[in-house]
Amino acid sequence: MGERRRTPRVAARGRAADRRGRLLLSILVALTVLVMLADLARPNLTDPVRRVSATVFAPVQSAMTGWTDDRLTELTRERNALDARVKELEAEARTTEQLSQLERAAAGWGGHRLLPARVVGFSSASTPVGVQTVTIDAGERDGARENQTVISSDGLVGRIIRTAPASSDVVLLGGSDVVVGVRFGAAGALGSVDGRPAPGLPPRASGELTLTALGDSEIAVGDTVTTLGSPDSIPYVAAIPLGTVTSVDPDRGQLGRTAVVRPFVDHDTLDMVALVLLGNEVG
Amino acid sequence: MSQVPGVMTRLLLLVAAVLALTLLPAGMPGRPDLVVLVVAAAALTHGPVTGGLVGLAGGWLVDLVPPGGEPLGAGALSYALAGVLMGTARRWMPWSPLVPWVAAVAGAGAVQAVRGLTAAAGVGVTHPSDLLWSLAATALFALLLLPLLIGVERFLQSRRWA
Repeated sequence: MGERRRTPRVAARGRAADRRGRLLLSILVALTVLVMLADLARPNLTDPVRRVSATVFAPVQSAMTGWTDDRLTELTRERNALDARVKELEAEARTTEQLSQLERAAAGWGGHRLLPARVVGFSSASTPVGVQTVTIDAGERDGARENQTVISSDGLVGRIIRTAPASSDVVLLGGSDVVVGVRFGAAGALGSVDGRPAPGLPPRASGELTLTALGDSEIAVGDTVTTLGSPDSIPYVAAIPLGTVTSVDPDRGQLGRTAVVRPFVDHDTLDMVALVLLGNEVG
Repeated sequence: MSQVPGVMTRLLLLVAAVLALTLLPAGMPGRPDLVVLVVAAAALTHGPVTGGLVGLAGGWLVDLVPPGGEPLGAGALSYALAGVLMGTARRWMPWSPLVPWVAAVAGAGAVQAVRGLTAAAGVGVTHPSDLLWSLAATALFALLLLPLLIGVERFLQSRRWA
């Protein structure tokens, strides 16, 4: 309604402003496309930008998360550390047993130092590409390095993909391009766990993963899945609990037997986690 | 007549919208998209060009604030698209007080549709139920926040700050 009352000069000025705005929008969109192409072609080029943004925003996120009860945080931290230690010792005991019985060399995750950290940021549910990442408040200053394993008292969380001075980004289990070598069942059969939907298999509920057995091992419902470990424990340390098998897929001619795995760690309620610091063995 | 206060207010709102996700209680079935609501308010008050610009800025923040998005700039383009789309709904504003809400939900739907399409194309992992939950949470938050944000935009407009 206001349009009609405008004098011609004001209307002309509005049109000019509109034209300027359109030009600005086109230029900025073109620049964004260029940056996106550069990021796709050479991700290293845009690393400094992300680093600066992490340096600026991570302390704010950290402060916003820290508004909770300090004592509660401290107790949770302690409980999780003890819980992690128990699991570590259990894994160590298992390893020792295996070593003595089968003389099989298996480097467990027992013995590495754990660095507690807190989740301070979740990836937005609206990014065009569905990445599953979180930001934690431990960075290069605390000893975080790319590809380190991140665990919680429940089990495997993921691995670090990007570090900044005071924060790191962790890609969660079930994210794209995350495939973890695992052992499952009492016999410790080999397999891999993947979050991406596999063609030909029944659809998975949100958060469920797919276990593919290597070779001809039987998968049973209730089997516990633990990580197999990587050479030099990068990116995954061995024998970390990962999840349980909740159902086995019918045989439809897929290469290996497949099953649905429900991970122990719930992404939505992630809070206290720990980095496994390699080369920092505790006595 | 200076536009600086308007630009600064929107930037602050966008930063707050991106960072507020940290404060939301864990375990919610869907995470609301607050950025799209700030973009919706600007787009519905000023039209597609402003909507596109604010969307671009908001998307860049979503891409950059840790843990951010991959690849850099994709979020900016998807929010700019949503901003332009919501801006075109401005002409229907007098029809009903529900138009802004419907437009904002449609904008959030466009953002989620891009996410769903890339996942269907094999890039990234997203479950369809997560998309719908996020859309539902955004629609719920829009009921409360959108009138406030549009109020802020109207105030800026009345002071000729935007």
